[in-house]
Amino acid sequence: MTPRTTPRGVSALARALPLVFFALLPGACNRESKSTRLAADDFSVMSSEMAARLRASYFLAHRGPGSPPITVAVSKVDHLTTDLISDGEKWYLMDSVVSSEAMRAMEQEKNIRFVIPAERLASLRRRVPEASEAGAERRPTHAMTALIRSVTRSAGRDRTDLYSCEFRITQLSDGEQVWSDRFEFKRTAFGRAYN
Amino acid sequence: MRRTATLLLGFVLAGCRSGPPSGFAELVDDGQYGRARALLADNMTARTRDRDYLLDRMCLGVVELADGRPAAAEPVLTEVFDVLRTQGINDDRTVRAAVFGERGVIYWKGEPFEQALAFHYIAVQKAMQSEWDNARAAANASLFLLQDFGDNERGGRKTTEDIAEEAYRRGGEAGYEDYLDHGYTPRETDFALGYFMAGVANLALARVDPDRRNEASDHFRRAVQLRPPLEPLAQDLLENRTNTVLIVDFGRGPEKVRYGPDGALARFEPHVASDDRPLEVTLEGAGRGTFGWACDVNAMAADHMWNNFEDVRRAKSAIGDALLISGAVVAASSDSDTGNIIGLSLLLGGLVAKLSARADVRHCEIMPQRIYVAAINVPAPGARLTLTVPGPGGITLSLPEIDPPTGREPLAVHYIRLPCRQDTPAWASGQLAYANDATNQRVPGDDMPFILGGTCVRTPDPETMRRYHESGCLRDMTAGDLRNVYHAERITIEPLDPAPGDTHRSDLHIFEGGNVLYTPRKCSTGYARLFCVPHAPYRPRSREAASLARSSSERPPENEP
Repeated sequence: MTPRTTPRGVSALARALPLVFFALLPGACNRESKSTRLAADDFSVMSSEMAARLRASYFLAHRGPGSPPITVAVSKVDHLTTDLISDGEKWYLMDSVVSSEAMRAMEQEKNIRFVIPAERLASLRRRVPEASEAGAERRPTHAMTALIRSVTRSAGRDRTDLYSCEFRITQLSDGEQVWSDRFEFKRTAFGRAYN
Repeated sequence: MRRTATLLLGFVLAGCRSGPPSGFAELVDDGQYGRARALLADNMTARTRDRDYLLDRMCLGVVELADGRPAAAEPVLTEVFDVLRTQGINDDRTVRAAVFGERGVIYWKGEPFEQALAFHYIAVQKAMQSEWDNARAAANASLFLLQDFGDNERGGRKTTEDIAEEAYRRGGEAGYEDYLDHGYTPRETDFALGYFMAGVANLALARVDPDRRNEASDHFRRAVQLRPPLEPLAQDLLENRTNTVLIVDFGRGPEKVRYGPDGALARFEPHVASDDRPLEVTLEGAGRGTFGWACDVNAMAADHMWNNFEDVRRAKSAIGDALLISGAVVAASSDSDTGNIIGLSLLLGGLVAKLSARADVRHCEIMPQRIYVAAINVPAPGARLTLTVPGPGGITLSLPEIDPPTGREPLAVHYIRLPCRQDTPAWASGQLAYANDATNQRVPGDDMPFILGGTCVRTPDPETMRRYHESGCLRDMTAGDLRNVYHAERITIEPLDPAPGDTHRSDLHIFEGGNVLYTPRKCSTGYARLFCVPHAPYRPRSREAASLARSSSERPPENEP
C-alpha cells in the first residue's frame, strides 16, 4: 500500500494549531484591558466548565440512581492569587458549580447530593433559631474543595496573570482523592502599573 | 479681554488646590478620627474621574483603620486596590493635555511609596479580619519592582534634579522622556515591611496549608536582609513563641513641597525627623519588649526609586519661558489694539503654562513618619497593653485590654496609630470609662445605657438586658423595647441596623454628638479615645427617652426602701 503523504497546507496548519490554541486561551490579549483582576464572567465560565467536567468524570460515569448515596459537603473556594476575593465571591464560585443545571440533573441520575459544610451550618443555626435541627441528616461522605492560584508576569508596560482553579473531591472515610480537575485562564492588562 | 484672562487664570488656579480638606491632617494627628472622617466624608469627591478620587479614599481607609473599624474601611480600601491594580490610568494623558482641558486630567495614584503603603494598609485591614489569603495578596502587591536610576557623581543617590539634568544631557529635548522611560534598571523592592507582612500572612495560612510556611520563611528572610532588627520578631513568629502582631504608626509623614524654577519640581521634606527610637511594648503580667521601626517613610520618600517623576515630565513640557519672552516683545512693540491683544494673549498663555508647570504637590498627608512592628505573646485575655515611644515628641498610650487570637486563628494582627501631639491625651491612660461589647469589664454606672444616664454603650441585646435587669433597671423592658428607644433617638446600632447605602458616610459615635452606636476594635486608638475618657452626658431628643432618663435618675438605689 502506498503511504499517504500529508498535504503541505495541512502540515502547516498542524504546526500552527498549538499557537492558535494559546492565542485563543480564554482571556487572551485584549488591547483595551486595564486590569488583570478576576471578573464576574471568570467565575461564571469557571463554574460552568467545572460542572460539565465533573458530570463527565470517571468518578460519576459509572453511577446510577441505584448506586450507594453520596453526600458531598462543599467548602468556599480558597485562593493564593494576587487578587482580593471576598468570602461572598468564594462561596459564589462553589455555589455556582453545585447549583448548575448539570449538577442538579445529576442528583437523581447519580444519587449524589451536595450539602453545605459544618461551619456554615453552625452559622445558619445561630442566626436562625428555627433552623436548630437543620441538617441533622447530613452525614457527608465526601468533601469538595477548590483552590485558585495565580502566577504574575510583569514586564514593561504589560502585566499578565495566569489563573489556575483546581477542584477536588475527597472521600472522607479514607482521605482518598476521587476526583480533581483544573481550569486555567489568563488575563493581560496594558499600561504602566504605576505612573 | 479681561474676561478671557480671568477665565484662563481661574481655570489654572482652580486646579491648584486639591487634596484632603484643610485641617484634616491636624485632626488625625490629634487622634480625633471621628471628626477627621466626618470632615473628609463631607468633602469627598464622588466623581471617579476627579483627580482626588483615590486620594480621598486612601485617607478615609487609613483613618477608619486607626479608629478601630476595619469593616468600615473595607469598601474604600477595596476601591483603592481596584484602582491601584488598574494599569495605564494616566497613559496617553500628556501633561499638555492635563493642563488645557477636562479630557486627560491626571488621575492621582500616588507616588510609588504611597502606593506600596496603600497596599500595606489593605493587607493590614485583611489581616485584622483574619482574611489571610487576601492579606497575602495585598502584601505581595506592595512588592512591585522599582525604577533605579543609580547614584550620582557625588556618591549619593540621584535626586530628581540629577535625573532631569541627566535626561537633557543624554537625550536633549527629543530624548528627554525616552531617558525617563528607559534609562533605569528595574530593581527588586526594598520595602521590608511589605515582605514582613507577606511573611505574617503566609505563616497564618500555614495552619491549613503547610507549604505556606516555606513562603513565609522566604519573605521573613528578605525582610531581615533589608531590615536586620526584624530578625528576632521573625524567629519568634516562625517558632510559635508569639501569637500577636502589632502594627504601630508614629509621627506625621513627609510633606510634598515645590522647589526649583517656577516651583516645577517636587520633593518630600520630613515633618517629623527620622531617628532610631524604639517602640517599648509592655504587656501587663508578661514583661516588656523593645522593637525598632520596620519602615521609615521619610527615607522611602527621599529615594528617587519611590517617586514617579511626574514633576520632571511636567517641567519639561511647560514652555512658559519661551511664551513669556515672545509675548512681552509683541505687546511692547505693537501700536495697534490687535497687536496688544495678541501680545497679551501670548503673555497670559505663558503665565498659564508657567503656573501649570508647577509641580502637583497632592499627597497622602496622613502617612506616618515611621511604622513599627512588634510581635508579642498574649497568653490570656484582659491584659493591659502599653506602648511608648520615648523622648521628645514621644507618647505613651495604654489600652485597657488585649486578647489572644480568637477561635482557631494562629495569629492576631492589631493596628494602632499613635497620636502625634504635644500633650498626652486623657484617653491614653487606659482607664475604661464605659461598658461596651468588646469587654466584660464592669464600670460604675453601667447598669443603665448611656442614652438614659448610665455608662453602658453595649448593643441592646438579651445579654445586655439581663445585666440591666440584674441591677434592678429597665425590668419592664425587652431588648426590642430598648432598641425602639434608640431608634426614637435616631441612633443607628452597628451591626444590627442595616448599613447606609452610601458606604462613604462616616457618622460620628453618639459620644461625639453623632448618631451611631458602634464598638471599635478593642486594641485600637479608636477604642481608647471613645471609651477611656468621660464624655458629656447624653441629651435625649425623644419624649420616651427623656421620660426614661428622668425616671432612672429618680430611682432610689437598690438597697434603699
